[in-house]
Amino acid sequence: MESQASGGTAFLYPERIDPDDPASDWVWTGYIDHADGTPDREPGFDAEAPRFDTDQEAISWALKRTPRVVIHDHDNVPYWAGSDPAPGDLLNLWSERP
Amino acid sequence: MTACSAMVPLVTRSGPWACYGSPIGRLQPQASSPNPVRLRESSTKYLYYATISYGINQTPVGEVFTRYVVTLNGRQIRASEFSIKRSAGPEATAKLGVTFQEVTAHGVSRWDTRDCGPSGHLGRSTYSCTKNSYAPADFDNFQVSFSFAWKPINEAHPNTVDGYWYTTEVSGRIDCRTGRTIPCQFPL
Repeated sequence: MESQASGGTAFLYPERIDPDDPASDWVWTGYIDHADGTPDREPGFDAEAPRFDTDQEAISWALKRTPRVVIHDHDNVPYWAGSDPAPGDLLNLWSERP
Repeated sequence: MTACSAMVPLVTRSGPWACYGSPIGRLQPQASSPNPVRLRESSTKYLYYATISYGINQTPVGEVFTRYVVTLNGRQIRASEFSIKRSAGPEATAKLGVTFQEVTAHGVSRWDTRDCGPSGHLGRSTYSCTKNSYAPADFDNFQVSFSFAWKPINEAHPNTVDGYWYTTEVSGRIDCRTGRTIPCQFPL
């Protein structure tokens, strides 16, 4: 998928529809940060993600904005879902998770 | 008297008392504190849980289960599933509170906080309080500790257990650094 932005990192994660209700359903959301994993780019918000029903919708939203995408599963284990090669400090791929 | 492996701060043995019960549920190698039990499930997830028993003199009155999860998503720091559940005992009044504190060479200062939960009668139900915060944009070597509390909202009274419910507090350190893909992580 072609990215429309040249920098930053998307962080995606599941959250409850009502965060104060542990029994409510899960949705996917996140945000995009200026930071790109190098000391040269200071962090700061680029965009906040809407809520999505599925992880794939959230990833598609992120990839339209940056090739760097980190996504956490329901156990908060981080995976790489970017179109750039996985960075050396995060080699687990979302597409290959168990 | 119920068996207690550790005390919460307010305890007296001649009147109202409260204490952590024995750890329940799973215990894994990375459990670093017995009460409340803290599990470092990954570099971006901590899980805490405990059972607290309370009573007056020699009489156990009830139990409260408490659980909290702290997760890190980039530079987002999220306290979620912070919940309490009464299992027995008379009505009591309490509220939940989550506080993030910045740790510097000059000490610890309150950084972000939220009180939520029932803020009233605590029935035999589960209440939860979620709080999101973000490490500042100019951080490097930013460190934060966090605390959780359930506390009475009535005046303390020596003749009621409710008046002696106090604070259950734990803390853990988070290390945030620029220059890595996941900037905020729990130290090993």
